Amino acid sequence: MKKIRVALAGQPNVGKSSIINSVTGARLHVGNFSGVTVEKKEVFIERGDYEIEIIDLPGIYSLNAYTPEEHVAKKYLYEEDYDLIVNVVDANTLARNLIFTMQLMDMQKKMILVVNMIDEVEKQGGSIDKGKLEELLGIPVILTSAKEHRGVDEIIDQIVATHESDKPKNKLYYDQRIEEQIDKIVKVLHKSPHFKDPEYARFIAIRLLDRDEDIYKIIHDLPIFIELHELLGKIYRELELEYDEESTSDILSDERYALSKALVMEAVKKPEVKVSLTDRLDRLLIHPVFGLPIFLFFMWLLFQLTFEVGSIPMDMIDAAFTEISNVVKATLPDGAVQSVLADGVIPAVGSIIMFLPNILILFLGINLLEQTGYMARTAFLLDGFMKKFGLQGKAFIPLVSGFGCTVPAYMAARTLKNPTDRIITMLVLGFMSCSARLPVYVLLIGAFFPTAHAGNILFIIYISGAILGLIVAKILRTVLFKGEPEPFVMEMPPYRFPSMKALGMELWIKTKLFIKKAGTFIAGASMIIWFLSSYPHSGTIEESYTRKIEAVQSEEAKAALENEMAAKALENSYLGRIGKTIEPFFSPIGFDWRMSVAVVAGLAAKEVVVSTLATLYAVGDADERSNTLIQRLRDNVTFKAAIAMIVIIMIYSPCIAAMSTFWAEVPQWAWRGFYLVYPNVLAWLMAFGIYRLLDMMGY
Amino acid sequence: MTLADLQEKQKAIVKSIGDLGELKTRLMELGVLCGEPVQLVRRAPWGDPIEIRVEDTFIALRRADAAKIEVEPISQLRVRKGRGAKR
Repeated sequence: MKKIRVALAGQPNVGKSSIINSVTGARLHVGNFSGVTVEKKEVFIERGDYEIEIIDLPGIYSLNAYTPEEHVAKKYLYEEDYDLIVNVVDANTLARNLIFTMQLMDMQKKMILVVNMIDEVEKQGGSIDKGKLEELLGIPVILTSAKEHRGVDEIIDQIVATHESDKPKNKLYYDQRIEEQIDKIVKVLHKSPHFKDPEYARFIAIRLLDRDEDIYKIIHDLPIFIELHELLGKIYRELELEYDEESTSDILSDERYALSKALVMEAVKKPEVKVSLTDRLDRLLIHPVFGLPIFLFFMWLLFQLTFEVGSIPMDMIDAAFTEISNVVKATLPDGAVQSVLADGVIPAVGSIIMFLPNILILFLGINLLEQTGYMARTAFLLDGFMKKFGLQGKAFIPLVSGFGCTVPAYMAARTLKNPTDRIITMLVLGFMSCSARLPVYVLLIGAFFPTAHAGNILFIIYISGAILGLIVAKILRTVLFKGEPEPFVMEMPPYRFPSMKALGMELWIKTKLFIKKAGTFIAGASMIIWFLSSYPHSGTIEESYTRKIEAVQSEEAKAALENEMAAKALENSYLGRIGKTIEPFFSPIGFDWRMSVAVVAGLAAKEVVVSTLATLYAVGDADERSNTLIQRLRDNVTFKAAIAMIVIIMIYSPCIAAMSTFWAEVPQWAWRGFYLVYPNVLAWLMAFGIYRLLDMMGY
Repeated sequence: MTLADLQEKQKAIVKSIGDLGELKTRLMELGVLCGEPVQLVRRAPWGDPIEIRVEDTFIALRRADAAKIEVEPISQLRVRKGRGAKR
């Protein structure tokens, strides 16, 4: 089978990932703001004799890459081997998009132009003349709407057709004065064996005029460098004087903009101007006075719904798993297998699956933020506030993603240009409680707070995490990183109605992943916890208690002794011994050894905290069938210790997956080391302070 | 007059873009070029950042950066003309 490799490139938020999803049925994450895709993703599709590999690149405004995720795209376009470029542009802002198209055309590769979101232009009475664009640019053009699945299948046919045909002749020429200088540079370039190909030499020459540092590095080590360097210096001076511009790259930008405006004039019928829905919504949603309260209200509502609606099916799921556990107990013979299933795996997995509804609601909320375009507004609203803490508005986007999952949030920090801003944002991102911590909170809130306030408490926990993050950011900025944060510049996308299909897809994927995680990782972890908490069996404890139990008469005393025996056996287990060893470290914040073990196990994944608590309090409780985990927690844990636990969970290191992502994104050893230590120290200190405070207040 | 001094909804023509480093390139890519019409759409809480419009692109940027972009207001004149015509 023959292969075609396609680089999908375009400016941010033009719908590149949506097009791939629409063409191939892939399930790439999409949203309505710049910087949803921050790393390249490959998708494969077969057509006829061909296997087509499409590489979805992060959005990039131009080859003058600005942020780290744009450099990912630029690096790919420059260095990788691919057969053709599919350039996706936004029909609404065609003039601006075509500037990048022209830079891509300079690369002299086979190319297809996909004009996406054509439906939005047509709905407002505008239109685009496809034939005219093709004629003027000299490359095939396809009008599409990924949302309406319009024109997208044509893309694949066109990829095959373009791949099989010869490359059309370059049609893009600049002003005569610029072309003359390009020719001069090409002549010098031809002296080097690397630049014999005239088309490639022309591309290099244009990039040098565009002051592209990556290209400059390439020629820097060549023998022709001295000659070229002198020539370039002369050309820069000449052109800048002639055009009265600061830099030749500005001249080229002006030139491309003029060309693209001319193109748009010829090929586009503009929609009539009217007050858009976006403008009307923004008058309210980012109102100078009401904007922030409205945002806070949305967040509050989200956490209310997360708790309230999420808790409706909770009892049913809980009951179902208890039932399964009982059936296992009834059918399997007594022994290790029965116990590992009925006491270990099933309650643990059940204790996690129970929280799936909560997590889905939270995810739905974050997805709505992303898909409607409100996310960019929150960055706009909060930039002034964030600035006071040494961050910028755009940093707010990864922080909000962090409420979903810390892993993609670390990746999303790539949209920040300044490395310092990025490090600070990543260092405080862990304080944005991810959805895996939600079960711990919901469990502890359910056990220790009246139901009426539960949603509010949840909201307070998340907001406190965010505020703590900002304070720490401020401290890091003042103590460790001197200097100003990067300038804030961000495109504000129009509001778009979320695609129900995309929303459903995201939730379905989340559900699948969650159940898979519960069934594999969590089940495995709980099996280990069960084993460690059930062995070794101590004959002496059992013997002495069996004798005592036989001696007493009343049922109550028997039950009490049975419980005592179970507790003693648990303390004697491997895990009990580990717990007892680490307990002194946690006892100043009111934890018993079981909580200590659960918190440490939570370093693997936060769900494990809940499943470990479920196992440990179940194994230590002989009367398993009547008591819920919530009841057991109320019996065994004090209010102030529960609060201390919430604080620990909120602040200490995130899960292994998140930690390894940080590791991969941050190469400096000093930051890696700092990242491993400081959240845990801070968590303990904060928990200690709050525990003592509550203690003094008499709780 | 600079972009940061415009009134809400006021339109102007970009005259020159000052020393903004790499930000200048980014703004030019978004369509903020000399001779292009630009409009101040709204200000965020505390007056900073601001949202501007060029063509059909809406851009958020900070006042301090906008203050380095010289503009020549145009829409003020139009407003006055409009009022005059009504009278």
